[in-house]
Amino acid sequence: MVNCLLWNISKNDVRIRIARLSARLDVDVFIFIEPPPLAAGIDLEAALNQGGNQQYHHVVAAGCTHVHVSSRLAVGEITASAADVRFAVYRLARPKQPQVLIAAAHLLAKWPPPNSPENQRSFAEDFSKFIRRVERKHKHTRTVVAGDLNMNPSDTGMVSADGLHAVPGRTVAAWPTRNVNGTHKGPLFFNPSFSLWGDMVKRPPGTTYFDVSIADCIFWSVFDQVLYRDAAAALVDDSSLKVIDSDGIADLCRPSGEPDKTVSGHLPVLFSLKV
Amino acid sequence: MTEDENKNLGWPQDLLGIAQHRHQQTPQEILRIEADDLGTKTNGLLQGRVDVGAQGQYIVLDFFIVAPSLDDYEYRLLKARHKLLPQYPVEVILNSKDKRKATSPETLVVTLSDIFRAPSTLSVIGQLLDLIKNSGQTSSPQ
Repeated sequence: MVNCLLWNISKNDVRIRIARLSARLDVDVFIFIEPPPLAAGIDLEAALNQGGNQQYHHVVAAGCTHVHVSSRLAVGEITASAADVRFAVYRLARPKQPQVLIAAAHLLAKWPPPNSPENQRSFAEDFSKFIRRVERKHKHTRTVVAGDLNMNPSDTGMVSADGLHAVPGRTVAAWPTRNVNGTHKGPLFFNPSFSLWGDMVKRPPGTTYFDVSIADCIFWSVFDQVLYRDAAAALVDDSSLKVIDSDGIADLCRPSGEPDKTVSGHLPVLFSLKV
Repeated sequence: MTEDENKNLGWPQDLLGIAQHRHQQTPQEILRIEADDLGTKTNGLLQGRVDVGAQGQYIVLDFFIVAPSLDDYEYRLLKARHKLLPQYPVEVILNSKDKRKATSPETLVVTLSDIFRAPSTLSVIGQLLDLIKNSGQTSSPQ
């Protein structure tokens, strides 16, 4: 089992927090979005390795400044395969296990203008095509997407056949293609992150919180999402998917419930791969 | 990688010097010349690749820097897009905040020259060459 923690750390210094999260959640692979710039001198791996015998190392994806992966798996078990400045695709290859691709991303923000839903969909289309290219390179589609996608699961860029094509039902997600106005579009992603939205059960209602004075403010969003192809379904432990609101010692949320922005405006998402 | 080291590398080609011969060339041809040149100048340690696709009414060209000895790691340095006809102007997209427009082959090669010599590009090339050096694979895989 490989435990992965996705977290947009908003370029903040979260060294104490990630060391605690590592211990609390037994994290093998951290997927940091918006890491601090190198110039800030914040060494994430040093923080993770402090005081213990863990061997986290930075899995370098040259040129990608929006994603930073730290792994304590053996060197070479996870490597970068392809990247853009905002996203990177990593190959996870453990001994005697099927290879998995992890596409980590920080997609375009909803605001300020000129960003727009159409611009987000266009960017998601580009990311989707990038993933398909890497899948062809590795000749399989055992792909997991994990990122701050800056969209909610039902947004156009997430659902559109020309975007990430990610849907909430496994049966539909398993279709190889589907007919859209006479054209076959595919493949799809299953998006279990729909299930992270709302607090019908006791948990944070999302991963980010925005309170703005507009009529259609939804307050809680699930921008930080995990998706996967049907070919990877047997390799993802669905029961592991959860939003994390504490590092084990201190809360990541304010007393009123929303993410504590002095730590990060985003809450981490934990998921496990059965490899 | 410093600017001086890049001059030693000799990439990109002397774009300004040969721009006068490029007035008939398409964006794709110009990018492919530079892609080939990167491989030559780095003795095959790094290679350039141009992928051609479509998005709506646009032809989209993706320019990758590829490291064959790093399991074919590929970094997309830029995207360029233009209409099927006419092929100019061409929009060169580095990221969501840095989009440049070239109205002719001549201005495209100037734009590319600026991008290829930018500190951020040199940093990526330097990082890849360091990774290759540290992996012990400092000769061309060919």
